[in-house]
Amino acid sequence: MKILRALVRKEFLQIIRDPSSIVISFVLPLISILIFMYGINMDAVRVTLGIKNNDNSHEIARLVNSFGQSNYMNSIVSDDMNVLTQKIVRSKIKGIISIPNDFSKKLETGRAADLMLITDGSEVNTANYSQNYVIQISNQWLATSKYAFLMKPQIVNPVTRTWYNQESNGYFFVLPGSIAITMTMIGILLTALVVAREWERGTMEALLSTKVTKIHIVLGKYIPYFCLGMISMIFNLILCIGIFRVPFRGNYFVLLFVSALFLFTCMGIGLLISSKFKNQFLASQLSLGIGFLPALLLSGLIFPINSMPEILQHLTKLLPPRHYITFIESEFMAGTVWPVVLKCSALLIILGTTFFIAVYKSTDMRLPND
Amino acid sequence: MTESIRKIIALIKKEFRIIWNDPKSRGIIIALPIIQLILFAHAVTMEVKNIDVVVIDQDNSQQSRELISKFANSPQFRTVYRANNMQEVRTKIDQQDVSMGLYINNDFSTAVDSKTPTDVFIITDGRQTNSAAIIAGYASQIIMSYNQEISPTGAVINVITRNWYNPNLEYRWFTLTVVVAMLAVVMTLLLTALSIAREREMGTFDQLIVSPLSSLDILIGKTVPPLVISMILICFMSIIVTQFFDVPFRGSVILFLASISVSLLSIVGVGLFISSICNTQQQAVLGVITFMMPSVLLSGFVSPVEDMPIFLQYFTYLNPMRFFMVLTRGIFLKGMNIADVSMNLIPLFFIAVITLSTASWTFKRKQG
Repeated sequence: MKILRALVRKEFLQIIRDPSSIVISFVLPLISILIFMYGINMDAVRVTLGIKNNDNSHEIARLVNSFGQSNYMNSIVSDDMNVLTQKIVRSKIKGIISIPNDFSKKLETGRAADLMLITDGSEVNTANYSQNYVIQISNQWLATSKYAFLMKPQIVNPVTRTWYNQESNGYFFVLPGSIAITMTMIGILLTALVVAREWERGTMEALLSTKVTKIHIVLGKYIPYFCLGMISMIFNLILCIGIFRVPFRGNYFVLLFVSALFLFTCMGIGLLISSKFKNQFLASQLSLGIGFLPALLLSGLIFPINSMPEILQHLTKLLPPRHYITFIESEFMAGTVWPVVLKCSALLIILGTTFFIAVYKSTDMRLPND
Repeated sequence: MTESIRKIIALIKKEFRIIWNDPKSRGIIIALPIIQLILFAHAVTMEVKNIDVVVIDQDNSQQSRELISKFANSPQFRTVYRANNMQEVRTKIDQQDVSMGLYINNDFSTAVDSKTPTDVFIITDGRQTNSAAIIAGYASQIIMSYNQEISPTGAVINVITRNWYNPNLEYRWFTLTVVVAMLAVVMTLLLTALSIAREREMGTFDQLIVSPLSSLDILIGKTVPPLVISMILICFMSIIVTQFFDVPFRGSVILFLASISVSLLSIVGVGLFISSICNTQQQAVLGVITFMMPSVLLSGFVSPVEDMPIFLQYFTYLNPMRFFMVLTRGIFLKGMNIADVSMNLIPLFFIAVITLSTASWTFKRKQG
C-alpha cells in the first residue's frame, strides 16, 4: 500500500511538473464544446440556390419570392444559366431551380407541372436538403396561390411527433455526445505515453530493481490519470449543463458512475498501447491514429450505426465511445432508462476489465533481452 | 553548394531511416490508413438504413395494411413490429429497439374510401436528432406516395431533381474523397509533429544544431521525408478509392499532384511548428490533437462551412483541412479547372510559408 501511494505521488508530481496534461484536460473540452455548439449544425442545413425563372406570370414571381424568404434557403435569381452553372462549380450555390415557361399554364388547367432542380451532388447531404426544401416551399406556395382550389386533395396527412427533444434542438444531443469524443482522446492520450516514457528514459529499470510488483505499477499509472481525467470529465459536464444549459433529465449519480467506467476503459486503451510498444514515438502514432477518427466517425454521434454493414456494427461495439454516446444521449434527454444504463455499463465494464487484464499481462517486469 | 546539398541529402536519408527502419513504425504508416480507409468507406454514411418501426394499427383494415406494407417493402425500413398500445411503443423506443413509431387512427379506411382527410402519426426518437429528421422524411415520402395513388388528379408540382457530379447521390463518393485527405493529414501530422520534440527529448537536436547544418538545411531535411511518404500514401489511397470503390476521378492528375503537394506541405508546416515549440513528445501529441480536432470538425465535412456563424467562417480560412478537402473533392468529382484550384491553393501556400518559417526560426531560439 505504501509503495502504491509513493508511486501515485510520483506520478502526480510528474503531472504537475509538465503541466501540458493538465492544460489539455481543460483546453480540449472547452474547444470541443464551443465547436460543437457553434460550428456543427446537426439540424436543417441552410442552403443557397440559384433560380432561373422562364415563366413571366405574376403568380410565379411570388413563388420565386417565397424561395428567397425561407429561413432555410437563400436564393440568387439570374437569367443566365452559365453564370449559375459557374457558381455551382465554385460551390457558391448548391443547386439551381429552373421554372419552365409553361409552369403556370399547367397549374391553371389543373395538371401536374414540373419544376426542375439541379443539385451539386458532390455534397450529398446538402443536395438532399435542397430537394426537401424545394418540395416543401413550392407546395406551401401552391396551397396559398390562386391555383389552390385546383389542388389535388390531401387525404392522408403525415404528422410527425419527436419524442424527448420537442424543440429538435440539435445541440442538445450533440453536446453531450461530444463529451464522448473529447474524453476518448483525453483518456487515451494522457496515458498512451506514460509507460513508454519510463522505458525510454530508463526509469523503468530503476523501478524494476525495487520491491515494486506488477499490480503496483499498473495501479500506479491508472489512479493518477484517472483522477485527472475525472476532473476533466466533470469540467466537461459543468460546461455542458451549467454554462450551455443543455437540459439534463437524468440522475447525476448514474451519470458520474457510467462516465467513470467510460474513462477507465479509455485509459485502458492508452496504457495498453503504451506498455505494448515501450516507445513513445510508436505509442503516440498509434494512439493518434486510432483515437480520433474512429471515435468521431464510427461511434454513432454523427453517422448512424444502424446504416453500417452488419459486421461493422459488431466491430463498433469494441469502441468505448459508442456505448457511452448511447448512454449519455439517453440520460440527458430521456432521463435514466435502466435497460439502456445497464446495457451500456455492462459493455463498458467488460471492455474496461479486458483492457485492464491486457495491460496487466503486457506489463513487463523484466528487461527486454536485446 | 554541392557540399550543402550532400549534407541535406544525408539528413533526409537519416530521417527516412528513422521512420522506415522500424518494422512496427512501417506497419503503422502503411496499414493504419489503408484499414481505416476501407472501414470508413463502408461505415460512414448519413443515409439512414435498416430502420426498425413499431406500428399501432387501430383500424386494422385492408387499406391500413396496404400502407404498412409500403413501409415493409421500402429499402430503408427493415423490420415492422406490431404493438397494441402506446405503452409498448414507448418501451420499444425508450430502449432503442426501434427508431420510429407509426400510429394509424381507427377512421383510416373510412377516410380513404370517402376521400376525407385523416392524420397518420410518425413518432421519432429525438435523442438522435439528425437521423430522426431523416427518418421522418422517408416516412412522409412513403405516405405521400400512397396519397398520390388514392387521390384524384389535380394541380400538383413535381420536383424533378438532377444531381450533378453524383447522379445517384452515393454517400460514399462524398465520404471517400474527404477521408483520403483526412487520413493523409493525420499521417503527416504523426510523422512531423513528433520529429523535433523527440530529438529534443533525447538530446540529439542539440547535436543537430551544433552541426554545420543551417536552420534551412534542417528544415528541408525534416520536411522532405514526411512529405514524400504522405504523397505516396495519398496516391495509393486514391488508386484504391477509384479502382475498388468506383469513385470517379474527373480532374487532371497534374493538378491533383500539385494540390496535394501544397496541401501536405502546409500540414507539414503545422506539424513542424507544433514540434518546434514542444520539449517532449507528450506535449507534441497533445498539441497535435488540439490542432486536429478543430480542423477536422470545422473543415466542412461534418457540417458545411457556409452554414457556420460568420466569425467561425473567417476562422476556417486558417484551416488547411478546409481547402485540402475542397480540392480533393473538387478534383475527384467536379473536375475543377486550374483557376478554381489556384484559388484554393493560395491560402494553403500562405499557411505553409508562415508555419515553416516560424518553425525554422524557433530551431535556433528555443535551445536549452
